This record gives sequence, structure tokens and C-alpha cells, in this order.
Amino acid sequence: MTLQHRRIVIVEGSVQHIALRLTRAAAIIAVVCGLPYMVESFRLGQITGACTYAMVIVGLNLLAGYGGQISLGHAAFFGLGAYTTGVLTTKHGVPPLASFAVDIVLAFAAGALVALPALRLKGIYVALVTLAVGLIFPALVSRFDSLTGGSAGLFGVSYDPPNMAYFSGFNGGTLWHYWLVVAGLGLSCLVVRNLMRSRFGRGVVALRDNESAAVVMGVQRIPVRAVTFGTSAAIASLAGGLFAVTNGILTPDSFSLLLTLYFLAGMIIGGTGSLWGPIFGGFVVYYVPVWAADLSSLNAGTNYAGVLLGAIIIVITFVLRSGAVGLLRSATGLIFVVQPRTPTATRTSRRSAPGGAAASGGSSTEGAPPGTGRHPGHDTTTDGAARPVRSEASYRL
Amino acid sequence: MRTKVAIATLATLALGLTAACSSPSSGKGGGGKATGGPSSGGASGGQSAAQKAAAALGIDLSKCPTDITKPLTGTVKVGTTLAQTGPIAAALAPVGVGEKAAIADLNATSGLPIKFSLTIKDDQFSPDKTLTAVQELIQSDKVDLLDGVIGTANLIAARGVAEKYCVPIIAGSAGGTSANQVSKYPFTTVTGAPFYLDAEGWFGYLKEKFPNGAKIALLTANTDSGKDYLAAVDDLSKGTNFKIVSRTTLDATAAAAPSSQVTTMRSSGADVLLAQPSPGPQCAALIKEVAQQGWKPQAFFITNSCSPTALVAPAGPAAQNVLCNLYLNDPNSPSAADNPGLQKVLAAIKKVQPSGPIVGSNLSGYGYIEILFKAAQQAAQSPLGLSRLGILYAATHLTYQPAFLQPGVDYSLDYPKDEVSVESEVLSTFDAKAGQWKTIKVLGYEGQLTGKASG
Repeated sequence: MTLQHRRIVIVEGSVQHIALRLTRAAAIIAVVCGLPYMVESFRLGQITGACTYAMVIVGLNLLAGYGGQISLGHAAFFGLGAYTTGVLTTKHGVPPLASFAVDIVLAFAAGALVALPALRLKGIYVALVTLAVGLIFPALVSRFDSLTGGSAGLFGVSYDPPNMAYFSGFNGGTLWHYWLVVAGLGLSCLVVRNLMRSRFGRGVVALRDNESAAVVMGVQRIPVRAVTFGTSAAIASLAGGLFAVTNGILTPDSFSLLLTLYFLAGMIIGGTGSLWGPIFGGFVVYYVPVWAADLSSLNAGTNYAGVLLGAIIIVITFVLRSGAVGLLRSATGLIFVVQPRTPTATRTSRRSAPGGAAASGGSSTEGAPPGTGRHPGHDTTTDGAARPVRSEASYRL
Repeated sequence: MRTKVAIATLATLALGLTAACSSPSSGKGGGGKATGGPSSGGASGGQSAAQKAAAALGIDLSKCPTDITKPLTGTVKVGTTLAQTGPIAAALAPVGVGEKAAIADLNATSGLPIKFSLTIKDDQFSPDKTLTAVQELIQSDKVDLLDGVIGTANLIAARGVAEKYCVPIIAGSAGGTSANQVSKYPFTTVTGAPFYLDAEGWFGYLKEKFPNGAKIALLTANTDSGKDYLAAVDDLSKGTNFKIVSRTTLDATAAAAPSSQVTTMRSSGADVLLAQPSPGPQCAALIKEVAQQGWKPQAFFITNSCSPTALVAPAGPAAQNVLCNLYLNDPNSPSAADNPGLQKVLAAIKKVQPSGPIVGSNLSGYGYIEILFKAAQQAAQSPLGLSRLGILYAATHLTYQPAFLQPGVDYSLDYPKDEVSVESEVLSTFDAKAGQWKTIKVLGYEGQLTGKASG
């Protein structure tokens, strides 16, 4: 018997499949809720920082992973959010929550604006447009020092925890920051997940894979690209706002071009075009410099962060192109495989038995691949012919 | 079916959140109330002295998460941050060598019943990294004391966490007034000459040299320290015959020669140039540029941050007669050989760094740790004993002549009368041929800068 035959096959939508997903959700909840009890306050602060980076990479992944457009300006959007929150809360007394909303709106507009010149460009040239944004931001922060504190930094950014028993202890502030960032990360993941499962998301992927064909098929290039860029920037900016209140100090050095390269590295290491990859990548790019700093302290003067990240990227590029999440998928794929439903779907049967034949391979158009079943004029399942409802690739989205 | 799954997941999530997150106080890393305090322990017989000392420093002992009056025993952990990597690591990394040398040397010779161990974390001289490093030092490495955090912005970043955990920062090195706020941050003590002192020295000389006043061109770094210099010069020139005819700034990261700034200042018709470039290649570049443009101001002062000869000597003959107020000792100065205290320190550093030249940063590092040992020795003799509070109190009431400071320049603190540790400096002029500074005279402002260079 081959390994292929020994794998557990779980049919999508079956009781086992639902149980598997619930178990996964429960495990995530347990880890998220349990972390404050399991790690010391300092480690929780580090995890908060890593989640902030993960948020930016989730946003970057929407643009670069799903959309195929490389951005070298995401540290600038991250910084835009951080300084917006910093300036609004410290100099104008705006509540932090309101400043987060301003972060999102401002960065969405800035992202959409940057997307416009990038529309006429492709590949490396898009990267160069965003590179300009990434390079100019730290200089602007230094230039407008009366507002931003310049190179000396902006101090005193904070968001006090609410008056609840849970946050009243000595480490209440750390806990509060943790939950703020976890909520931000969850929201970002939800936005990206839902966008990519919608018609809009299929448009994003179609433009990445074959722009001409996508436009011919009716994908609105300008709004799709602009909204993708804007959303990606808005997520990075919200992460920046959270970074500001959790860190308390902002300096232009914190948002240098190097940080964007770290974000890109995190996206590649975690796995592009996936939901969990950016989260894993965020932790990697946060913790590698931390460990490297410890190594540097032991071997005074030698910076290992760049060396370590470089080595990891080289290994991933040659050995593991789908990133860490791809490796995990391959590993779990050796144990079990989720088999997509392979029903024959007709408009009539869908109406009469919505989802009722999931376990037995009945008909449904749920999760149909792009361009089939869900949109008027594109429903091609009325012939009654058997077809896979969801390819493995689309299921991963 | 998907809707049902989603509802089930959400319900599980809500249940999970309610169940797992409703009892925060029981968690190890959670929000448990701070316990301990002076009443739970303390030096026997020293409780009232501790209360008195804490009150004098403006410390509320009941807010401290641990008992800072408890005597320290065995090996006491000390933490510091340092730019071991990054753009200015070359200038600051030698500080770490000096600190390690001081720990090894003074542990053996100080006669204290405790030993100090040192943990150094890299902060790349970036304030946000300093904050992270200090958090790790206090929360993870559990250091009892911090020492020698360098940089005004870095010290500001570090002190918030230090205050929260009641961990004293001994000999934080900063020149900015904003870093030295004794009443608000009683756990943070600052060493290093304040920028105000440097400007005070400039005007002390100018008033003698130009009794009828002069026109001043002022170049400052586009940093927080630059703002301090600007404020000090404005304050000191107020009500005098000295008129600032040109103000230019230089970006801290600028690599090119400051041609346009020098042109602007030269064309203003200024008699005097007061310059505060960022320490590094900018010092020599500015001096060279002034000479290359043929400008010969009657007095040319450069910030004491540029005082290491290695930063000025590359300007060659252009540096002749440039003025500077020195406060840090130079191990390579001709007078170093006649200074037995300095030679002892150099010998200790040589043990840790057998090869390579000893530079001023090595001396500074030794000095930051030496202040800690001096404070500990004084605390051991006091009713407060060798506790964190005792060492902090001693460090804020300490006067001595460290080897890392110029002869005649003391470390002297006596809160609340004297909140500024370095209040004198040595007016010097550069001898380009010898490649050394030549002493003119010691300028002393002892006890005069509290309130001006402290907040």
C-alpha cells in the first residue's frame, strides 16, 4: 500500500471536515487567550510587536501575494499610520480609536493615489514608484520636525486600557496592547479573506495572472487595482497606529526602507498568496533581528540579522517556494487530504437542495471557481455535466 | 452549511473568550496586582531612613512592584544598552569594552561585599530599540540596575520602563535638558556635559574676547540636541551685544560637505562661528569646508561632541586654532602619561582589549560603571545600605573626579540643590601640527546650571 492510499480522505462539508475546522478554531482561540497566562509580560510585548508586523504583511500579501504588485513603500504606509496616531493623540488630544479611523482613511487615499501612476506600469517599475514613497517618508518626518519630533523622535504616544478588572493589574497595559493588536490582526485577516473570496478577489487574481484576459473578461482594472492598493495601505496604516500606541516612541529610523524589505521577506518566508503565511512571516521577521541582536551582543559588533534573513530567503527560494505554509500543507497532506465536493450542479437542483448533498457529493455551486455559477451571465452549470465545484487552489484562498 | 459552520465557530469563539479570559489575575503574565513594597522587607533599622530618602527623591515606595530597600546580595545584575551595530556603532561600541573592563577591575578591587555582572543589549542607537532592549533587560533578564544608557532620546525612551519597575538608571549619558528631569523621573540620573554648559562656555569666552559684542553665525544639527543648542544660545545671547545673523542646520545623516551652509554663514558677515555638527565625519568636513571657502571667522567654536582628536585631526591644517570646550579625557593626550588615575584605568582596559588603541569611548564606558561602584561604596556606608534605593540615593549625592573626565572636571550631584553632574569644562584650542588640543583654561559653573540644564 502506497502512502497516497494510506492518507485519510475528508470530504469537504462532511462532519469530519466541520469538526476539523472547529478544532482548528478552538485551538486558535485557546492559544490567543492562553498566551497572556503562559508567557511573561515581556514575551507578550514581543508577541504584540510580531502581530503588528504580521498585520502589515497581511496587507502587503493582498497587494503583492494575491495582486502580484511589488510594493517597496509599505514601511511608509506603516509609518504614516503611526505618525498620524502619534500626532493626533499627543498634539491634538484625539482619542486613539478615532485616530485609527483617520489612519485607515488617510492611508487608503494615499495608497489609491500611489496606485494611479502604478496602473500604467508593470513589474519592477511599479516597485520603483513605491520605492520613491518608501524613501521620501523618513525624510519628510525629519523635515517636519515641529510636528513629528524629527529625528529625535515623537514620545508619549499611548492608549490607556479601559477601566476593567482584566486590565487593572501591573501588566494591564501590556495585556491591553496585546488584545488591541490581536483584534487588529484578526480584522485584517477577515478583510483580506473576504475580499479574496469575493468577485473582487477573483478580479485581483485574474489581473495578476493575465491582465489582458482579465480586462477582456470584464474586470475593472483601475478600481480593482486602486482598491487593492488602498486596502493594503490601510491595513499597514492601522498596524502603524497600533505600533504607535504599543511602542510609545516613533522615530523615522523605525520606518526605513529596510523595514519594507523585511516585510517582503516575511511574506516570502511565510508563503505568498496565503492567509496564514503572512502571520508566520511576521513572527519570523520580528524575532530574527531579536535573536540576532542577542548574537550581536555576544559577539560585539557583528550584525547577524541580515545574514540570517538572507540565508532563510535563499533556502526558501530554492527549496520551498510556497513558503512555510506550503511546507505545512505538504506535511499535513501526507496524513489527510480534504477532498473538494465533486457534484453535478444545476440551477434547479441548487434551489431545491441547497447544500443538502454535501456529504454524499450532491450538487452545489458554493465556492465555484472564478467566473462560474455565482454571477449572472456566467452560470455554465445548467447542462448537468459533472464538474469539480472548487479546485484545490481556490479552496486554499 | 457554511453559515452554520460560521455561526458555530463564532459561538465557540465567544465561549472560548468568556471562559478563558475572564480571570485575569490568576495568570502568570497577566494583570496581577503588584505586590511587595517597602513594608514587606527592608534593611533592618533602615526603614525610616529609606522612607526619608525616598521622600527626598520624590519616590513613592508603595508604587514599586518590588522592594527597592531590600539589601542586595551576591551577584547583582546590571544592564545597559549600546549601539553595537548600526551607523554609529564604530564610535560607541568601544564604550562596551570600557564597561566590561570596569566590571572586571572594580569587582576585584572595590572591596564591596557584592559583585556586579553586566548584560549589554544592542540598541543601534535607535530610541525604539533602546525601549525594547530595556524592557527585555528589566522584564526578562531581571536586572536590578541600569547603567550608562547613551543618548538623550534613548534615555527618554528607557526611563519610562525604568520608573515603572523602580529600576534606577545610574549614569545615563545625555546632554539634552529633556533627559534630565529629576522631579518627574527620580530613578534616572544623568552624567555627561549638558549642551547648555557647552553654550555657556562659548559665551563665557566671547564676552571676554569681544567686550563690545559680535555677529554670530550658528550651525546646529537637525536633531533634539540641535534644538537644545539653539535654545541655549538664544537664552545666553538675550540682552547682550551678540547678534545671531545666520542660523543654519545640518542633517544628522548628511554625508556631503556642508557647502551651502558655510556659504550662507560666510555671506552673513558673521565674526564668530558657533557650530554643532553631529559627532562623526561632519566635524572635520565642516572645518575643512570653512577653510576651503577662505572664511576666517575671528572665533570658531565646535561642539564638545567633536572633541575626540580622531574627529578633528582629519581636517589637517584647517583645524588650527579651532576652539572647543572639552570635558572628556583623551587617553592619547600628552598629559595622559602624567595622570596615575588614568593610567590605572588604561591598564584595566588593556586587559580586556589587549590589541588596538584605547580611545575616549573606552574611558567613558569605564567611567559609567565606575560611578555605579562609587555610589555602591557610598551606599554601603550609609543607613540605607547596599539596596537599589541606597545606590540611587548615593549616586544623586556623590562628588568625585573620575578618570574619564578632564582634570578639573568633577562628577558632582547633590539633589535637589545640584541636579547637573558635569558643570565645568576645559577651554581648548586645536594645534593642528601636534594633532592635539591645547588647554587654555578651566571654565567652572558649579551649581549654576540646575534649572537651566535640568527640568
